[in-house]
Amino acid sequence: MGSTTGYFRPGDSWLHRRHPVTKLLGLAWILTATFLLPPGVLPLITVGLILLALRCRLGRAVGASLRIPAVLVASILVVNGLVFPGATTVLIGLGPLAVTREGLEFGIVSASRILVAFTASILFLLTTLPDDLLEALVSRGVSHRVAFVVLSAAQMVPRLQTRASTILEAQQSRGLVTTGSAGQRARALVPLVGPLLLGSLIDVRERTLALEARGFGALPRRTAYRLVADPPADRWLRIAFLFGIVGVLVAAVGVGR
Amino acid sequence: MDLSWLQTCPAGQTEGCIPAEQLLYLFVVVGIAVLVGVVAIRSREFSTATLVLMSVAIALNVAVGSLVVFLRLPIYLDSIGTVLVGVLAGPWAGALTGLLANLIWSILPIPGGGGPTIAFFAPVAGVIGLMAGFWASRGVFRLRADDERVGGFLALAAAVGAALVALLVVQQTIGLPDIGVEDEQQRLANQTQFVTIAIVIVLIGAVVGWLSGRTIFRFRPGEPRIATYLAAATALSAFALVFAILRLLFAPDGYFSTVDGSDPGFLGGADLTGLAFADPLGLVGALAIAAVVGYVAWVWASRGENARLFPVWVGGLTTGLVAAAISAPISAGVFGGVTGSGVDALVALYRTLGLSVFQSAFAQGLTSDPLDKTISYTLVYLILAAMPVTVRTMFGRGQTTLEA
Repeated sequence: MGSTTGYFRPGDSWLHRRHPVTKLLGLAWILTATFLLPPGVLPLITVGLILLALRCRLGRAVGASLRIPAVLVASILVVNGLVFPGATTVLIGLGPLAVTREGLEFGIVSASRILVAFTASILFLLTTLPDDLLEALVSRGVSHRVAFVVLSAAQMVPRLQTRASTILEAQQSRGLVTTGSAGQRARALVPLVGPLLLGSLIDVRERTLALEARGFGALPRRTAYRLVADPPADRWLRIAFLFGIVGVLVAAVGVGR
Repeated sequence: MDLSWLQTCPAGQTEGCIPAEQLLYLFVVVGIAVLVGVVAIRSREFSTATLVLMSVAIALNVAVGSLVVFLRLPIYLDSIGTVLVGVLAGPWAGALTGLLANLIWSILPIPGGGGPTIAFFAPVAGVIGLMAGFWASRGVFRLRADDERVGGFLALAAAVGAALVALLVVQQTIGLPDIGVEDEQQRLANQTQFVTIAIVIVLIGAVVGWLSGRTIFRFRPGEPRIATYLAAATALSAFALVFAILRLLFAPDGYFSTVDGSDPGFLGGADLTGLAFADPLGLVGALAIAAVVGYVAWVWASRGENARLFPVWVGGLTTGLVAAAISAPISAGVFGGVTGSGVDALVALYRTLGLSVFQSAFAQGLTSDPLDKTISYTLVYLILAAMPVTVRTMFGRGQTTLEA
């Protein structure tokens, strides 16, 4: 499971066989329900997700991935439980701090929402290859340029991280101090980030030339024979008219009753 | 249809009106939708160089972020690539980079990343790229200390300063109307007055900015006045900032005057009212300290080319402020007001000081984001100064936004 394939685990479950956009819409539905509906629906959604995970034999994978939001969830519970503004009902007093009921309620609801959102997302990511997702989106009208950016960025992440550690070792062998006081560590920033940034920009130039030499971006763009003039003032007029239409609708709704 | 509920709630009321925080959420959601729409339309015009730059910049965010973790510095620098794209390829490319970078962080199992849930912060990253592009088009990344476009930047600063002064004058003379009174009629009158005052202040700022841009800040290239004005602006800003903070804390009606020991939860019932120095001693003291800081800033800015960092820092600070403002509602609404990282200790601190969930999330953002973005801007500025000409000319904005 490398950086370029994301969280994806190969398999043949029901979820694996669904179309990526279907899964995406299902995820969106679960996310909106989690955050917009009252917290009472959370247990229902959780049970549904667990059943789905078990049916697709992903229970262990989901469980193992729960360590990722562990710190976040702990922080939500601790910070909200101990210091919730306006809380009055104290459950456990711990000297100057106290666990309050309102804080704990808020913390538990927030943490549950995050956990449900995370589980749904991780189920989606475990069963969807990013390449497939982007291919499906492009065939539905998303610009292929965006798909290119996402996929090549995902491939470049491990490459750039390797380059960053190479630069780090090279600079250290030339005497760069990377430990010690905050000032020393801060001064190491420019010698490390500088070569990385500049090297990446030169890399961009070479890649661009290589891509354009292979015809990337050569769309069948037609040159128009008739040119319609578009004075700059027109743009503001169009925006004003759009607002005007909205205003008229609002006024009609308000006045009409 | 009865539309009387279409107004913001005064403090304490919850029925028949829209709570101010819900209005903020709605504003953020609408803003995000508009941003994504415009970016999607503009993305059709991106050149190949821009697209390649975007993908490299997204990977850069991850690489530099992990370098900073290795150096154990209290910043993120995980939007440095976004700023880079904003400077070289414009605001909309920067915004798209921010959005995509955040989405990629969420779908890739990057160690140290937050998992899929950080996708909720995508709008923040988008706005950072947008603002980087905006500031770059104002010439913030190009200015030498004797560049004539400093004038435009100084006029903008003068406009903001004039608006703030007008606000202070209004507050001290006729006073800002209270928009939270119970009486319906009075509240409506007060709200109208508030809006009128706000419009007048903005107009004053705009007029001062336009006038000063045409007169005292109209420079020819290479004038020695420019460096002096820039150094003066740096010194003045340092003075104003330090003075404002000192007054906010140590004035007779400042923060320390409210810590009178009646709250046993805060620092064990400490009474800090002794720190609220009475005027005129407190005022003179604050003025003196601020003057010293201003003078030091003047000396620093007058030396060599240091003054050209002032616009860069203004750009970074404002970007950090806006980023904090947009991430606060997301953090408060989705994540229960925390972020899951070390800064949550700050959030807990702000809560003990009495701030609400939303306010403490905002305060935490204000503490960490401006510094982080300012450092990102400075790094991009310093490093791009060394960029080879062959790379600079590949990007449409490379020549106009970067130092010649």
